[in-house]
Amino acid sequence: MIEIKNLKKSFDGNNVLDNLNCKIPDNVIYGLVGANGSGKSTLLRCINSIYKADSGMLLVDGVSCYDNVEIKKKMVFIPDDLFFYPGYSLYDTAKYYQSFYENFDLEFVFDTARKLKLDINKSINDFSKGMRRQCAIICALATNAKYIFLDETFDGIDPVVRLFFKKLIAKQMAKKDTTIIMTSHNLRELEDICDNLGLINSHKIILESDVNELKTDMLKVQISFKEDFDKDKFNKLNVLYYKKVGKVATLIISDAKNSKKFLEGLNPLILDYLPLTLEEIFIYQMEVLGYAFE
Amino acid sequence: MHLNKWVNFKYLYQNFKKSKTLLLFILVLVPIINIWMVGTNIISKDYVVDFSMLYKLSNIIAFILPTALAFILMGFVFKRKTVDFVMSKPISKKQIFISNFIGGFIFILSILLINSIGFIFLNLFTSLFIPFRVILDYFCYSLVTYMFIFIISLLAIAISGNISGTFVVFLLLLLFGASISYINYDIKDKNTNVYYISESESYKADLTYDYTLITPLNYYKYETYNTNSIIKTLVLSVVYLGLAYIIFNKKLMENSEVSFKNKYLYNIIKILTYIPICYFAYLIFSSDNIFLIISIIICVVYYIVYDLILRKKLGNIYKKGGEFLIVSIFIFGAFVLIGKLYDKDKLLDIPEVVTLEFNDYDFNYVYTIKINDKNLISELINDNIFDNYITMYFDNNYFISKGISESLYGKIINYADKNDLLDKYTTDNIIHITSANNKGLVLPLDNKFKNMVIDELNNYDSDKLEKEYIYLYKYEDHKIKYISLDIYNNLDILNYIKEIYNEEFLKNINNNTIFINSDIEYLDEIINENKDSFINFLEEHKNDKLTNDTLILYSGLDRYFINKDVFLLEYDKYVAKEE
Repeated sequence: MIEIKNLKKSFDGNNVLDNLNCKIPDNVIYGLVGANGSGKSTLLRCINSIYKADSGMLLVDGVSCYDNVEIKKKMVFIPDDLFFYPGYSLYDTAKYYQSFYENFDLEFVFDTARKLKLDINKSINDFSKGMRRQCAIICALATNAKYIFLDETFDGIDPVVRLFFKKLIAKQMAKKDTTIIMTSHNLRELEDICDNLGLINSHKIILESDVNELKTDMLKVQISFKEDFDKDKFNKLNVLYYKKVGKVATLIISDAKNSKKFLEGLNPLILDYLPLTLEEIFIYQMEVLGYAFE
Repeated sequence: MHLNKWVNFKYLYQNFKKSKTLLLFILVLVPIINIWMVGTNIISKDYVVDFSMLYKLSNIIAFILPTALAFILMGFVFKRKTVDFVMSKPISKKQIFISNFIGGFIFILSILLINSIGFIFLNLFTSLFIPFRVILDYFCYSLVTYMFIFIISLLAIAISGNISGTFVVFLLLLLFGASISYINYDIKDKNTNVYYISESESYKADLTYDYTLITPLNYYKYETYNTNSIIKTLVLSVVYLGLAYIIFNKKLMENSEVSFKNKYLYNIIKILTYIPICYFAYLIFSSDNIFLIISIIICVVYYIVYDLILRKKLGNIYKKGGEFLIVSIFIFGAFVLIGKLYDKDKLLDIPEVVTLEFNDYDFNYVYTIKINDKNLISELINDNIFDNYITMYFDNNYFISKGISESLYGKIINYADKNDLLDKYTTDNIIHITSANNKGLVLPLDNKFKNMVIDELNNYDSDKLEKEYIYLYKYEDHKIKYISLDIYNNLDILNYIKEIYNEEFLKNINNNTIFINSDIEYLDEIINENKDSFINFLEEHKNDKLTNDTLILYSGLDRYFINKDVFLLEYDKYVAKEE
């Protein structure tokens, strides 16, 4: 488990991470979401000992991880800005990773490259941006590390290959005890793969939850009555969002189970339950928390 | 203690592998160039190779190679991308530093070993003679020098976060050693208060050889191989290495691409680099006031350019202007103050005793004697005619190198002779003897020959004409020293040489032109008209024992030793024919 308490990191006096707290349980896919410059990459670099935190506690499996080789052996990090040694092919890069990770699976690299039609002997720097990221993800997965950190995971990868990797990641997860931490500024990219989500904003994680819990706990409703009505009609509910157009109101409500009973008891003319995207859930939750984006 | 805790050999292998082409290129090219440059001595016929000859190229390589190596191994710290790539791997900063240090050491060691093996091959398979001790000295000295530069580069990389900052620190670390060595002194007569010399006084440089490359050479007298230098360099290397290790371990990788994150460090380094610029401006300005504007421009431009290169921004112009004025006034004020103090207090009286170093040209030998005749010392200081060259050491380190007249030179020799100060050239450590007119002729050092040479040396009279002589070489104080010994009248030695010479070198005569030595020069025309006959004649008599006056005849590169009467008898036949 990764446990972060009151983590602080600043650059030139500007706080990038400020008293950040976070718990990433084992064997989950954890999505870290936040706007550009919110500190996602800095957080990953702190966990991976690339940056040193100014203060706070950063424990991986209960041990402080900064410059700790034994802990670093359990982690692999693919940054947003990729680097490969000039002239290195996928095979060379895989061998490079193999020299650091005891459980590195070279066969997995060959197999996946074949499926993706990647020439393992061609210099990676001659590949397209998306292909370079494919190579990086393949190497990261092949390490069989316990913690895999993927920054801007699917940046530049086309939808078909993205789906392929999502399946591959799920397969890897099923195969062994792995925790994958992915970041993205695009929630839609992560919603169908992540078990847990953390939202980073204003230098800290403002929301952290199990995705299924979030989805089942919130309700999006379109409702209409014979008589005229306003928001006060729903005072007994925890309304996160309310908008009325003509005679139809759209509401987003938490505590889905009890809310349904209440709404049905009001005898509405129209009562439709609409599907909520993860993005909507996050936006409304954030509004509740006072983080409204202009 | 597990070695793996400190060193990650797999990382080291990969670090080398990523730049294998460049490293292999260096590994092959440097020794090839080095060996080739030493090999050119064959063309110039400098067959006996001294330490300084092996070091010909090394003064350039000593800077480029270790610095390039440090950048190849540790250059990842200059870019965020590469920092992410390397630092995210399961390796600690401690392991990175120690592994790369060991890698650099192994690489430098390999290059020097290849070089040394090349020199040994040159020694074995060419006419060059490179004593093993010379190669050993080269190896030890180069290893210390290269490693010193490598460690300085590592320290500079540990301190700074980008290439330009590293370069500045690298130069500062180098200059630090050199700058503390130079102090200027004037010499005056205690009684008359007259100043004698106020130029080219110097301080003996015994830091590393590398410093001499970045310091005005006329201020320094340095020996290529200097044991003090090696010890000091080793000590300094250990200190710098320890510092580099500590600083790299504490280095924050998030500061990559930034020269110096700490503004105090940035300013200190800026001022330190500004001091030599100010000194340069001060020198220009001191020479003539009309250069004042140029001096100011130099200072201002440097102050601006430094910030633009290292910080990529200038900042608040008024604040910078104020800072520039304060720093400049302080530094120039210090120059003026130091200049005044030094003028008053740092004058040396003419000393009672000096150590004098001078060449005996006949012997090509450097003598070192002590002189305590104050009048002679005064004369030596005052005499500025440049017939001969001497170096006067006033105490352990301060010295003047200057010219003196031929007559004063004679006085020194007399003084030394009278006081029995000149050391005799001994044959104890002779490692090599060559025949002067054909340097490639190596004469085996058996006891018989050695005794003959010693006898000749004991009876040596330097007034004799050097018609036929040999060089006696020895390696002392890490230098090849040699004397030339005239053996023209020593028939034993001539016979000995002839015997070796005929066996080893007259096997392939294919030159047609015969030249003769000065004694029978007038015969030249007759001999050359009949050169084939003469060569046949010489071939027939080449094994004759020399019994009386000898002639030495040259055919191309080869020589014939022949009894004068035998030759003249033959020659007379041709003269008669002509008549």
